[in-house]
Amino acid sequence: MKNDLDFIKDKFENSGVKAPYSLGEGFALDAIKDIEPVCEMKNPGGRLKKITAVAASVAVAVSVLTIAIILFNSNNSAVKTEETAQTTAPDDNTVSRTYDAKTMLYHYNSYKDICMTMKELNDDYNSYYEGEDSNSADEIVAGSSGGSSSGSGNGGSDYEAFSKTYRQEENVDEGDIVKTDGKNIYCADNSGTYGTIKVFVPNSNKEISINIRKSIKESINDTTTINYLAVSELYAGDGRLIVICDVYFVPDVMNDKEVETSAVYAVVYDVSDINNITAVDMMGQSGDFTASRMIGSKLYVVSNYSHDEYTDFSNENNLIPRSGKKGELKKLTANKIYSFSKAQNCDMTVISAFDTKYEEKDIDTHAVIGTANIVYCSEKNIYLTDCNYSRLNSENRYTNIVKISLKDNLEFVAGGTVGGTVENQYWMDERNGYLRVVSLDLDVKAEHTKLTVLDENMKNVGSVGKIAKGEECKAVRFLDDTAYIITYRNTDPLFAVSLKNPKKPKLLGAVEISGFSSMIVPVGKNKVLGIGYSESRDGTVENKLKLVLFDVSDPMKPKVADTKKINKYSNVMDQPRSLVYNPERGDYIIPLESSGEETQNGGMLNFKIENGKIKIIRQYTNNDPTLRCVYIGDKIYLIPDPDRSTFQLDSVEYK
Amino acid sequence: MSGDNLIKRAVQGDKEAFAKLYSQYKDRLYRYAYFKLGNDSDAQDAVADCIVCAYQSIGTLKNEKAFDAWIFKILYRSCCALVKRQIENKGVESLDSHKNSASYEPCFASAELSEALSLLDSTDRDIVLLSAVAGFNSREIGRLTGQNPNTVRSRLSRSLAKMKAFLR
Repeated sequence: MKNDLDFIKDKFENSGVKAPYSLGEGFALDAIKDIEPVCEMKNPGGRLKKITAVAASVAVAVSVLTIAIILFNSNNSAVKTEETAQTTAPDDNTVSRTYDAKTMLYHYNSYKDICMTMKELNDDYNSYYEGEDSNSADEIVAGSSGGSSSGSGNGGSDYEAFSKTYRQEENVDEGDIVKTDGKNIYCADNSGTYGTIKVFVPNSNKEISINIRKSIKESINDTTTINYLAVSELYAGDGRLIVICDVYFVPDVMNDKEVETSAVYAVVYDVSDINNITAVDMMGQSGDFTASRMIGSKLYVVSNYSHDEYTDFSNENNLIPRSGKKGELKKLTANKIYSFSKAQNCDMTVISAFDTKYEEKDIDTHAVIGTANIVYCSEKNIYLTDCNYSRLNSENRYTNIVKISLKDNLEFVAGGTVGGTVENQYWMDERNGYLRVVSLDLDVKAEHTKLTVLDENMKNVGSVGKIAKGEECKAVRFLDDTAYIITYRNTDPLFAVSLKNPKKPKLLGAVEISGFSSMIVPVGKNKVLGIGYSESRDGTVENKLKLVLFDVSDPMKPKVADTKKINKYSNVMDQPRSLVYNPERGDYIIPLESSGEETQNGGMLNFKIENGKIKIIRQYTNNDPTLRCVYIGDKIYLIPDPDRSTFQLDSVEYK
Repeated sequence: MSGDNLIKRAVQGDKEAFAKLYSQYKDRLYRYAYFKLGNDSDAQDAVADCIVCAYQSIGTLKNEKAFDAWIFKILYRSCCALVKRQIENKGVESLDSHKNSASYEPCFASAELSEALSLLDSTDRDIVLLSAVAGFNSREIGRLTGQNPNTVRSRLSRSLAKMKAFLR
């Protein structure tokens, strides 16, 4: 079956739209006959793009080096010299940096060395990708999603019970585009150029809009124009709402400004008085939003600060990320910037810890050269992975993982490597100091799934490979000492892997079923629920929801206990955070929308697992595609997609 | 002559090589401009502007194998500049109001496809064309249009699904 992109590509290619005869080769020759190439790039509007003069860049580099040394001397604490074996980069004669064998990271003393490393990586990246189809990489990232964990709670004595975002780890909150604190429902609305928050107050049928752009503009007190703002994730609780958003100050191609700056901001609002919502704190850091987590009042924000062939690698102002509070973003000192030992591109991953409760506390920010697409966070540590999806065709794929302790400030404590690529946060899990990692490896031509166990120093202590050769890993869930893995190509096998002895993980058994699950949910002691895509009779995957209940009481012989196919698409098939679990009732709520073959509609499905079967409590249909559901007390609220509706809340009785 | 040799010669300023090279891309370039701007006349103007800009700046092409992406970036900017000029000539008050408007002049040819495009707002239309016609990935589109690559990815998949449902 053709994917949507190939289908639309074909439509354009076969549209019959071709350059008219008048735009032929002769026209081009004629158009350029009186002009000569210039060294500088001329933009359509007529302004010349500046290319930094060599003399100027040398001057900048020298002055920056001086500043960097002063900064480093005044704040030199990052490089651990005593405990770790250090070697100078063996294959590098020009860049001065120190290798920390424990974290498997390079440490720097100067901006100049950081810039040089990034330039080398950029040159290497460009030479590697010569001629590669630029479309291949990102679509793979978009494709799969993994398992999920649960969370639901009681808002305390003043509130009725209300839903919380589904979590991988019980005590690690995850951000989402919709949150409730039991009183109000907060929804991200990115349907316009400037994203806003819509606050619905169910008790009074009130709707309030929060202008984030205004809050940021007031705080940064700058004349810079915000071109675009998109809300990425929200957190709500304790009378506070935290809004994490991507803000783009440029580029304005219309005005020939090509230097673009983007930053991630987290704005803390006091929402205790809904009629007087005020911004009380704010932090920002360079890059595009990647992920966030919240433990207690501490927010962890990860962003990707990327560069391309237009970046001037001789100017550290373009390369060194910034961070700070209240809109005042300052360059990170060189000693807070590291590099993955085999970083695969010149992007930087920026991570900050921000205490949202104490305004006076400063943020702690670090950066690593390399792209951490996947972030896993336990209660104690956050793990960043550097795996490059663009090299999926290469056989020797590997993923670097760095472990950052969250004890006080962020501390990079250990680093390790697993073969293959890690594609989802649920593919990692920490238990008793061991990090268990599922990865997708490529052996000659066939893909296969691998499970690796790393000890607390991130050393590889055990692994089991070649699980489901030729199949693509679709969902992973670790439950205590067992890992459940769902793969897909021809069938939908569920594999059980025992991790009782971390040094000898063992494949136990498998069961096959059609379609594939994109998330695995624990249901009681001996059952797991697969939520994912169904398959039609001719074997093609359908955009329709399928629930599969697996009986895993005998892990050597997992069995299918029940299946239910719903003739609708659900956001939960791609976004595990859309699942709502009510621990008090022991039931689940998921949003629904039309699967594409019928008129647009939405709704929700409320179901539970009872006596080893999936029991549908209620299926409700309304008009607008539903993105999320939340419950407060005895009502379920359906939040539509703001891009495809008038963005009005619908509610049904929670029977 | 192979495309690689043409690029090498074009980078050295060989006009005939550049014109031959352009000729290999002309249909895709025109197709992009045609669906982006909605009519033949503007599309021809944008492609003509792109040819001149590309030849003038051919010396800045750092990675010869990336010619494809490089020339489409120039065309994207040519199209944006053309829209801006038109707005200024028409005396439209704000560029933002134009950028956000859902108005899209359907193309004369391939009415079904342009009708499917008209279901999208201007941002989504840009993303679909940059992906499906120009061949950019979501990271590159994000850099070019000033959006988060993750946002681009989700907008793209939603837009493609919408168009596919209409065209099927």
